[in-house]
Amino acid sequence: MQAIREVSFQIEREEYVAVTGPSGSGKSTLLYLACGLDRADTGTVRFAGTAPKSPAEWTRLRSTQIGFVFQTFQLIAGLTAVENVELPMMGVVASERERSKRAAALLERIGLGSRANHRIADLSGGEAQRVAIARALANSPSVILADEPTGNLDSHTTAQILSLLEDVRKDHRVTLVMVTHDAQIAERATRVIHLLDGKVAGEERRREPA
Amino acid sequence: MRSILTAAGIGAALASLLALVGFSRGVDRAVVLTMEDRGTDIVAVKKGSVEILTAVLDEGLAGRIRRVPGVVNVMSSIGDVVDLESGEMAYMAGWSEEGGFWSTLAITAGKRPDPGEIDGVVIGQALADALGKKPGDSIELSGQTFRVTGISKQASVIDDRSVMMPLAALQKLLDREGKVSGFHIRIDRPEDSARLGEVRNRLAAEFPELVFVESSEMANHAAITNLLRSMAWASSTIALAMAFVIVLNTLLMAVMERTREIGLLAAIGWKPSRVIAMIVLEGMLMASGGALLGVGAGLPGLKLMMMHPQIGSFLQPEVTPVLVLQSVALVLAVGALGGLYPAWRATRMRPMELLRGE
Repeated sequence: MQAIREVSFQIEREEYVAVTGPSGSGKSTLLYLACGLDRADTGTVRFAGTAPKSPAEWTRLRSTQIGFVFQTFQLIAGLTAVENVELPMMGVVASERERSKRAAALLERIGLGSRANHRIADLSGGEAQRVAIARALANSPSVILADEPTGNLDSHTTAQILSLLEDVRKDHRVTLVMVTHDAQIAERATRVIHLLDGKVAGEERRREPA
Repeated sequence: MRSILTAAGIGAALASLLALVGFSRGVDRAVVLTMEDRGTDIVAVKKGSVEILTAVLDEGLAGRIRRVPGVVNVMSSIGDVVDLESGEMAYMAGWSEEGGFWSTLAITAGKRPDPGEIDGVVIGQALADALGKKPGDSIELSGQTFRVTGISKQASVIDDRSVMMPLAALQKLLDREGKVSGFHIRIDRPEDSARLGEVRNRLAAEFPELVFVESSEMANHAAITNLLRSMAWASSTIALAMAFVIVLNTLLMAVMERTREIGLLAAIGWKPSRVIAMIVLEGMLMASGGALLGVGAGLPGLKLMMMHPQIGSFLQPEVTPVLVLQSVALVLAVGALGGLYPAWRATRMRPMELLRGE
């Protein structure tokens, strides 16, 4: 079974793209391919004009250029919020003190400064997803990929998380690609790619609000 | 809980290694101390004999050996191990009048047996303490009664737990009149290694039926010490192999249970080498916990074992700080190796396979 077939498009720097479609349309698979978490049987994925040739190159990109936000947060329960945010910095930022300082600053930026030393199990769903967003920003990436980031959240928290992602995109000038099955959420993006049965079924562009 | 049990397993392996190798080294050390106590430079034993104690040499060879240039002194000896009524084992040694053994023996109580006295013995201090004997008391050896004439404090644990008597007395007891187990030879310039080699070669050429072993090498020549050493290392290797399997099993299970976590680390940009280092480090941490347990429980455990008369009679472990450090290093290496395969396996899978828990 092919999750994705004959999909070809280009995403520009600092674009805000929503990938939408029904369940099983290949949205999440597309996102995983876009950052090397999975490997395409055929075709090429380019990042900044270059096609990474090996898993090691993709690992380096995910470490420095790409931040990923999962639907199920994918935080390490036994660690605190700040420790989770520090994780991507290991191997990139040598000083433990510097890592801790940057992680704390990121959590402060997203409104969780006071919860930095709380274990993940003590946080609400919305707080946990904020920590995941902070982790995705840990190494100042140029791209954030978010796979149904609000899929497990209530409507109030969803709105908060979406606003946070959009603010982060503007403040840090990152490209944001978000997978969602929710049309209303997709409407917030400046470009929407519709997938159906693994293929691009349509595309819309909107003007960026001032 | 699983990690604690794994550490306990590793600790048991380490304790075994310390005990077994410590005992083996203790025996080696005792043999060396015995040679040093006697002032022996070279020991002559029968060529081809596996166990020195059972070998029989003609006592008359001593006179011929003494005439070889460079030889200053020759002591003839015969030995055997005997069970005492108390359950202790004791080494019996018969020493010739000639050669200086009796004149240099440090008597701490009583006196040595007279030259013609065939039922008088000197016992080592440790044996005297264990049996509660003092000069004038009797002691049963191989069904015969002997009289303790003196007590001697010896540096070597073997000698300190031995019964020393005139050569003729032990030859009679063992029914080996005119026979000895070996000759202890002193040369003129033992500090000169070239001279030692020269005299040894001369002796070997003159007495081809004998083997001449430098006293420092004696521990490697005796079958019992070689056997103990081999058994110690063989058993320790088995124990370490078991510890390796324990660590491997624990970490394999841990990696399987943490596939999502490992997948996440890969997803956020951790290099495979970092993931491998993390798992190997976990293995080493487990091993160091085991090492602490092994040393903490192993050393007192050894002391407990020594209280058993059958064990403590001859065996005094030599557990040095160097041996402890070497053993800990071995155990840490086992921990690291045990983590390598699970770590390698974890990094072979694609991050999404791991994240999905496949």
